Amino acid sequence: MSGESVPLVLPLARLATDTSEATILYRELRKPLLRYLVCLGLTADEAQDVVQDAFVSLHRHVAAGGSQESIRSWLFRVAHNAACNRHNSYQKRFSVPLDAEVETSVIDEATPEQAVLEKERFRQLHGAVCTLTDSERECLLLRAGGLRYREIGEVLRMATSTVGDTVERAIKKLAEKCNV
Amino acid sequence: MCDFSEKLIARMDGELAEGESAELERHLSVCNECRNWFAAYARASRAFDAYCDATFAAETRYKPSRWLPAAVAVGAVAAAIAALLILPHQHDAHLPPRMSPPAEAARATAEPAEPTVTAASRADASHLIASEINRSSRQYAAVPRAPKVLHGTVLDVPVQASQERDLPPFAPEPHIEIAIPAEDVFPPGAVPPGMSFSADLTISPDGSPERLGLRPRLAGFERRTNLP
Repeated sequence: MSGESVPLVLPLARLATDTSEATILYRELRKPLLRYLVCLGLTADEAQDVVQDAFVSLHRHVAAGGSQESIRSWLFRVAHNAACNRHNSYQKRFSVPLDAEVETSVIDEATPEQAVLEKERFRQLHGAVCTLTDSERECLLLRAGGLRYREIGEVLRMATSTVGDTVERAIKKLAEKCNV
Repeated sequence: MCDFSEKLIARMDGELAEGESAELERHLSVCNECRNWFAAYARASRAFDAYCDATFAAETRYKPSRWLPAAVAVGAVAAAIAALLILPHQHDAHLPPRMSPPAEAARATAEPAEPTVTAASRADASHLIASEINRSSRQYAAVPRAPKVLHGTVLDVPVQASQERDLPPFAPEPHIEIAIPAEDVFPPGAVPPGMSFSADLTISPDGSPERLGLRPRLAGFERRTNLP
């Protein structure tokens, strides 16, 4: 599993009353959530808003006696739904040519030849990512965020076995199209 | 492709049961094709992670606001107007009559024993606001400087000492610098925090402005030191 290492057992016992528990949770999950939302196509500002709203919702959820199991997938589901509600941003990322700024951000090679090769490889990867279906892309993004198949299924409301099949299909597509 | 190929990615993600995982491990040790596919899937997975990181890094990098150039232009114009309106008036009201450097030099040559600025005139000079008079010649002695704050304008006021009698005959024109914080010109929130504008103004001996240069500043309010 790739991405940020997030503990599966989160300290939620006193989340509603003890702010330090909420702070730990926020520090653990903020960046994976932001990265997921930005990769879905939200701007950094939009992603910040969504993450903040998600944690406010979590506080209300726990304070109201809601279930404290699978909080990580709960947060990702709230964030995912908020992202889907912003249709324009959500569709933007994978329906347009690669942003030149994104291309530039991956160029960190020692020689111009290496930089050109890396840029071309990244462009190829972006093309391959654009050919994935929405569910394939979302599964891979959540997987890159450190979620297990069961949690991905909870976020996207899919069976765990379906998540496994979707991830496998997506990875195979990427491997074939990028010839890695 | 053998039957185990369907489980390679689940194995990579740690999603297989213990028994299945051990069985796959044994298979990988003998099947070259599956090992190659496993490595290819791992590379694709890492490439996707790098793609996500690059996308996230590019989006969260600082981007200057689109209206920043327009704000800078408007601010520069406003600063120029403010400088033209404020400075001559203050010059007339507070600045004691000053001779141009060549004239002072000529006077110093004619009367070498008499200081050009007396204690009384130094006291008058301390009331100067919004102006700094500098001379580029290294022959000038260091003079004490007292920062002044008035209506958001902070400027150093040099007090001309009696060493001015040593002025060279070709001394440059006095150089006056005025810095105006953008917050003093625009309503709160109209410009990015810390932005100010600096106006370099050269004033002729009769008190009228001769040359005006404006620059926006992003690093907060500070006095420019690279005078000509």
